[in-house]
Amino acid sequence: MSVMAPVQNKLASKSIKPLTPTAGEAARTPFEQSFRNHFLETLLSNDESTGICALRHQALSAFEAQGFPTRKNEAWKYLALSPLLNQAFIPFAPAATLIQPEAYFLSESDGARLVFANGRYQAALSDTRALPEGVIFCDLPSALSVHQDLAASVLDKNSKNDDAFAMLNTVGLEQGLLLHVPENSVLQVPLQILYLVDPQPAQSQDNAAELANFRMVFSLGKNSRAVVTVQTVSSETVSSLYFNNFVHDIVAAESAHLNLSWIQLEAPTAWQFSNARVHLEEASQVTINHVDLGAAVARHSVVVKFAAEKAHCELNGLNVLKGKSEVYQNVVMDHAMPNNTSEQFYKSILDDQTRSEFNGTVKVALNANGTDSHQLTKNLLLSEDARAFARPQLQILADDVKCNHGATVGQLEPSQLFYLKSRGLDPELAESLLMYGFAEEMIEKLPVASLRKYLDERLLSQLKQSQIVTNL
Amino acid sequence: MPEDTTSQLTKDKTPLLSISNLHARVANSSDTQDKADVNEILQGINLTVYPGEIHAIMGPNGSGKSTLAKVLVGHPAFEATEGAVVYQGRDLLSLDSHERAREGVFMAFQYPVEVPGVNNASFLRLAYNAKQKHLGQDELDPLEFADYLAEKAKIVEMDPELLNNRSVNAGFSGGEKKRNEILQMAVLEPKLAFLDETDSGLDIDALRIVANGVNQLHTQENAVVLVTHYQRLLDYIVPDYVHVLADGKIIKSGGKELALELEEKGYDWLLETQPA
Repeated sequence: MSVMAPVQNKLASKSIKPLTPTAGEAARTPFEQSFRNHFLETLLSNDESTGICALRHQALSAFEAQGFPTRKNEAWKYLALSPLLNQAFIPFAPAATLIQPEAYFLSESDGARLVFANGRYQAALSDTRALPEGVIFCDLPSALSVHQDLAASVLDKNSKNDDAFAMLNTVGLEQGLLLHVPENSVLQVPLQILYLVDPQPAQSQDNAAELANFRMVFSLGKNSRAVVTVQTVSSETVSSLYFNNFVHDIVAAESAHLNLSWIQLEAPTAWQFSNARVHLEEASQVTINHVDLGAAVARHSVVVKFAAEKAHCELNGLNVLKGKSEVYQNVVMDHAMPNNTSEQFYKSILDDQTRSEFNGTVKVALNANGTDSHQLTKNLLLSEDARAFARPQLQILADDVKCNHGATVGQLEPSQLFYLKSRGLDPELAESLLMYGFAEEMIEKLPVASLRKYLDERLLSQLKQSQIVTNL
Repeated sequence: MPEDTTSQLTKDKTPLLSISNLHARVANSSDTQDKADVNEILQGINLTVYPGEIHAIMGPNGSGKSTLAKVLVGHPAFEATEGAVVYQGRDLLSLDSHERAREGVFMAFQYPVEVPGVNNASFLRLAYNAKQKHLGQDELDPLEFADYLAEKAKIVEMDPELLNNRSVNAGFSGGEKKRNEILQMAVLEPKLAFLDETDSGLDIDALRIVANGVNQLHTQENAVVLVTHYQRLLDYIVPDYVHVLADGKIIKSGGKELALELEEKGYDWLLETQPA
């Protein structure tokens, strides 16, 4: 991969926009105004020590040109942003009382764990002793000071065609982490990233809530292998709105393999956006598993770019929602090069007034013959007020491709229900078991055993399937 | 009529199953009464099965063979419109499908259903314990059941991998699915088992394994009803009686030699001799 050109040169020709009030200010949302007031200090300081100042300025210009998405934008059609845009934000204060982090530790990842609280690195809780030499797994400020070129090269790779929130993440970029696995390094230990959230209640005169811009950079060298689990967790007593704005930059070099599981376990007042940008070199493989069990609104955008051939990308998603949770999955699978394969499989179990959307687009470029791409979304509605939007889409310009997509929305499969009943299971148990199985099909894909076990237990209690708990 | 062919020996026993004048059609066919006849798949079935017997039900495609089995296990796609089915002295049709299963009625599916995410061994244990509880007998904990299941798996030479680390039928080959059906039969020890085209899609080795399994499970206390299109299966599982079903009725019953005759002559000679 090419290292970013010296940033100073780019910056030299840039004039920094004044951030004093302008004519357009009246039209600014509380979100944008508060962002300008509270998140641009680093940008304004023009601190070049981290080497990403030019990126921030580019992102700010791009955001100003584009603004926030509206519901006319297909990718944002069903998501009502107004509660977020009408909210003023300030940066997270340090966490006061931490959730017991040990409860979320995965035993397989002992010695390969980073812990963050309210976006801030927790050195005392983190431990990376089990990692072999050459692997870089650290918080972003450290990465930017020690491994500046490495971090900057990945950050720069994906900065085009961002959505507004990814741009703002770059503008306000401070916290995050870097994983770099060097060439030929196969990590036996799965890595764990624990992201804890303990927000303050909305504060001060403008009733501001807390926001973090958090960046995860994953750089996998040639022939390297890594398994990563991220859990975002908030205490269940949280009752105020807060917003985590994540961006993940993933670059897999030739024949590298990354398996990333993203487990969202947040309070019913939480907003979480994540933008993953995946760059695949030849014969590389990236799998991302999303599991969403909470939040007010979670939106995951994954944009995959095949930069060479013979690569494979697999995206899985499971939403098990109750209350008023909303989860939006937005995928762009860009088969820009020939002979690559991809799979998308997203499932939702929706109760109460929850909603989910799968909006996935497979693009196959004119020259991308040999593409093999599959999309499937299945949605189980447990309540009349739940809504599932299934929008698998194909844009195929090449001739010699194998692409299919499918979507189901509804109740449990009658043939499966009868099969279980025909073996003596009463209807309630048969339904419970099928619902559990519906979710379990996705949990089974997660590569870390203790994570599967944790999620199994959590799902069983969330689905109120105590009958199965005692029987399985 | 089948009663006529019943041997003197079995007449001393109480029938396990007796079907009289059973009519059935596709469920929820919201057609008018006039049209109901068109949808009627079973048009007056009479059949008596005693413990210890093996019956084969044969017939051309669309004759209603599979429908008969499905109606008897309570498949929601079909509904009985007339007639009576007495199983062990009870009105079978009044029971829900899971109750029928717990009472010992079983059907091996022609197309076993895949249930992703539900572990095969766990499912079998839930089913086994549901039956045990219903019968007032001891349930097994996971460890005890693992031993029980390992023994049963030998009957159909089932790879333990397919039991312990796989979801029910998910990704199984055709042969593995059919074996899994017979394994379920072995675990649940039904009194009355319908095998719906269990031979279809099996190669000769798999057929022998499945048939051996069924023969091991058949005792003087239970009965097996084979629904099959071909004589081939009956070389391995020898029936006491063979019934030919056509247009929703049993048009001929006989001993095992009837199957050979059908193999030789096809069904046409029987259909032609039927009064219109």
